[in-house]
Amino acid sequence: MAAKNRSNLYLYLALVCFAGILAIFVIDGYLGIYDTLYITAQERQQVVEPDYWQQRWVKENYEGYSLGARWGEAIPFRYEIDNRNFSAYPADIEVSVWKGGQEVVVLLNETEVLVAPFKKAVIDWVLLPEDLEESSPISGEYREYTVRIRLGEMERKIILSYYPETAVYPEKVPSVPVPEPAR
Amino acid sequence: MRIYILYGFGILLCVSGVGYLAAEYIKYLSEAGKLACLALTTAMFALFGKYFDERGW
Repeated sequence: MAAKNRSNLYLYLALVCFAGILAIFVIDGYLGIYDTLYITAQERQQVVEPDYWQQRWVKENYEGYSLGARWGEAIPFRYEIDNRNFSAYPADIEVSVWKGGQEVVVLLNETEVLVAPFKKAVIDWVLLPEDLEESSPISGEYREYTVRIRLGEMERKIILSYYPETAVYPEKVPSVPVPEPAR
Repeated sequence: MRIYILYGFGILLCVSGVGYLAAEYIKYLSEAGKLACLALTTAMFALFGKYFDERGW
């Protein structure tokens, strides 16, 4: 009888361990710093969830999120930081635009944020084409920039592709009269 | 005999499913959480081993 009770105790302890593993998965998976990016371009809001940056192909190739925009439109960004920790989260946020490894403009410079425990902080900024100090792209020309968002040790990259504001079509070629086929 | 093959197949599916979910979820855990999970998994298998040992398997 005592041996059976002892063997049952081992079974219960094993089940407690299993429940502990599940609890760690749920609680530890929930806790942490989560950032969500909302970008509005071409009248569509795109949401970059925290999961996007966790994908293996994004992490290994260090790829950014691709975004297309029309030259001339203002692109509003909204960056939401969700602090799911028991302590406040202080961090510096810096947003800059890069092209060909050169910094073009700094949109937010070392802005300090302090997010209270289990609260969210929202930071907004707008990227204007004037900030890039370049002339309008000509027809068929694409321009690509990298928007870098650095939050503490984290860095997010947005690959921004601009295309011309209006499509320019080639001038109409005068039609050449086609001779009638000989019968 | 066929029923044991089915049992084995079911157990294999369960283990692979749990393994896949664990591999997906472990990405979101902190280093301390991963260590705690490893310790609990080791303890769980050891306790299951003792349980089956006591049962005379």
